[in-house]
Amino acid sequence: MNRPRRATLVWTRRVGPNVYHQRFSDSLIARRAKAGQFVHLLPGSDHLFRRALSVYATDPRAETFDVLHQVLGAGTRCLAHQPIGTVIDTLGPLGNSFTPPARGTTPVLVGGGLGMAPLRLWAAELMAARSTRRGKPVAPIMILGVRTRELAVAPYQLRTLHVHPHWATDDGSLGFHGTAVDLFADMLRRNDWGPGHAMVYGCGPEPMMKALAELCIAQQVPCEVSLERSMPCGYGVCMGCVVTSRGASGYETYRRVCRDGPVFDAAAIVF
Amino acid sequence: MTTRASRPDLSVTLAGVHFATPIWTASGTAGTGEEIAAWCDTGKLGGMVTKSVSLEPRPGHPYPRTVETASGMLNAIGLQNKGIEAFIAEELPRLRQMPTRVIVNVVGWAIDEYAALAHRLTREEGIDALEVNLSCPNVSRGIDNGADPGWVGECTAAVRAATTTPIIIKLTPNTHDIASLARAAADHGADAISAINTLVGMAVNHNTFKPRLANITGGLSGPAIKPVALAAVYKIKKAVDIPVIGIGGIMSGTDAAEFLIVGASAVQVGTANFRHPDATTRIADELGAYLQSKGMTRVTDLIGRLEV
Repeated sequence: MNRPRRATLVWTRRVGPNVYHQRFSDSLIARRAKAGQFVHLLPGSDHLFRRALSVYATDPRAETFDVLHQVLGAGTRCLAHQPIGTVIDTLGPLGNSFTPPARGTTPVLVGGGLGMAPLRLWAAELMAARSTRRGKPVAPIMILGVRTRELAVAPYQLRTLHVHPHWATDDGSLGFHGTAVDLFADMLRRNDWGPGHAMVYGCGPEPMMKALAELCIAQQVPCEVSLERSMPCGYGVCMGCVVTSRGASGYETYRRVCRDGPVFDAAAIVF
Repeated sequence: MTTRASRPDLSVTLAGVHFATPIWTASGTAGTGEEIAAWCDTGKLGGMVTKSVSLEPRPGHPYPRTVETASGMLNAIGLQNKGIEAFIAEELPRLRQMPTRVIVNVVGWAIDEYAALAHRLTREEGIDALEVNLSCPNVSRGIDNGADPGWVGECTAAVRAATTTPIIIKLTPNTHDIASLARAAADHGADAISAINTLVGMAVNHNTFKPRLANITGGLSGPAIKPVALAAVYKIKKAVDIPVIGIGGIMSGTDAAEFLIVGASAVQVGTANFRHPDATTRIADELGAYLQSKGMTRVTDLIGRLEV
């Protein structure tokens, strides 16, 4: 039987405007969490519901896991300002995880804003289990989009993985001038990433995921997206976090992001 | 030190059915049973009330369906369910295996639909009671009809005639006179009343000027409604002799105790399950500890002890 966890806050770093990187100590979550999964943290006793945050990094040996989040309201503000050593009532790891790419296929990770969080852990897992393509190890390609340079948070976390992201900014202040999906489309044209050669993984704002899904469907590139929803329960009982999904026969139904996702085949989602 | 022998007896009997504890899950807050069973020992639950099931499948309302509010939440799920035949085929076999009482919550759009659901479920084993949802705030008839004592009486009579299973009528608080609704149910064959369902509410985003729920309005639940629910149970107990099951903002053992003191024979825990997956068993343990602190050996000693 699953049990709520008592995760201890190890440290908090402010890494961008209202953006916080936090590390928690919990052996089970550190050991079991896979890229795409999330933890459900109760910010404090004054808050009715937990906040769902993607797992950003894990260190099984140190028994820690990390999250990256933006302060959007009272709950995330409370979480960001908890003193070091605070024990946080936590559920997790919850939800499903990304599907590994076929052997020899280039994994392309496309993130927008804090959508980079689960993709960072996925990049770490992919780097640890690199397959080969034409005899060479296939490292993930990472494309990250933000509004402006100062929001390009935590690049140091990526450098330690030896993953060098391609940045896209809306204002052109860093890397490509445009969105991450625009940059991905540009790279698609210039690389051999057609059907059978690449597998795309996306996480970011829903309009971006819609654009990414449409591009991948048009180019016949398989794509998985990790979706975000407001989640009262996080374990499947409240039915609050639904997304419209298309079944095999075309029948549309609501599926729960917390329990059926948060990772979905992009072609199955009705954005 | 607490010994096994000194633990208070939490069992209650109502409508002829014995329940291990008076703490049940409320409709729509325990999934299909398997989700909550992964997090709490369902053998310690008094009963599990299913999400509302209707004759035909319902997709429910679009997202966003929930909003956190001050000490509560708004929901407009919209009665999403697979329909009665898929429920019987896919969910009931699993529910039947669970070591707790199973109460199936039914909802219709007309009286004959309620009767048809009750008749259909009577043929199935493993159902300890039916809870008849006359009060969902997220569908128009849930309020329009559920606040009319004449309709409540007529619907209760139709369900009563369709089944031999105990029936619990779940009432709306969105009325000026909940006692008259309870009397109508009791006079037409209800075995028990459950109260309250959620209160109609609304939340607005002051930045976008848009409602926070896709359905615009929804049902308010959680600690914010506990005083309303306690008053409803108090009024109903004064109006009818059948058992009442209290619902509304129960987050702790002492919250549950307050409903029992007012006269509820059992309680249902809803929103608390979203905060803590093991809320019901925690609350049962806390209720036991509370009874011990009062020197009581049976939970039935607490029921109706209100002093006014």
